[in-house]
Amino acid sequence: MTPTDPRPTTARRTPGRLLFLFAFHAALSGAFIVAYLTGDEDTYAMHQVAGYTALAALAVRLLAGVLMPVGPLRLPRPSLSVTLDWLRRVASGEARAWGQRRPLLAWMALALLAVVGAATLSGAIADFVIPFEKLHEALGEASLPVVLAHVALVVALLGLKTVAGRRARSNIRHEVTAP
Amino acid sequence: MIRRMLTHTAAATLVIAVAAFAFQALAGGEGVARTAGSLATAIAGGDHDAD
Repeated sequence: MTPTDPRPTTARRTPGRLLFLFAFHAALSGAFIVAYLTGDEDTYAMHQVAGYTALAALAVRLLAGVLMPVGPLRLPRPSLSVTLDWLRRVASGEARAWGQRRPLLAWMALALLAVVGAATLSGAIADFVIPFEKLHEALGEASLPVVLAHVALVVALLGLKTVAGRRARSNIRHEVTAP
Repeated sequence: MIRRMLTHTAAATLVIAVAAFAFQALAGGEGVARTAGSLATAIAGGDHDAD
């Protein structure tokens, strides 16, 4: 395990576990989109279906993370020192760091789980305790910037990886053609 | 991998949207047309505060 890789060496990315992560991501993001768009008084039943779907997805994910604390299903545990080290290596132009697994994603996953989880849970509580509605609305509105930041981060890191790949290929070509 | 995630997300969004729509239209007894109208208003309005 390198200092930039926060995952333990025992992590096994089996197809079933990856499929679970894909399904969780799809269910949560799909439910979030529908819930966000139907957050109106006249579409309350639709909002409820989407909200409880998101809550169920989060509950299953948390349960899987608790039951399997090692491997791809473990809950995100970002490390500040690892992140700072990775950022330093990226800033210094170390091409290998650009293409490696990025510790920023763990921070983003944690932020998403916290904000979207709080919004979802407060929505379920607001179903029975009316004063929670305002809190739920505020958390729902706060979730969107975090989700958009997540999308922006993924796109930015993908760009970084692509640039790193091009640089590596370019270096190989130079080595091959050099006398 | 990102493309696969986006495809899954789009499919899940569609499934959840259809299920939620059906729940409101059929179980809620509002009817398809009225639910469609409410949904269009909610999406077009983009305002979460109906009060």
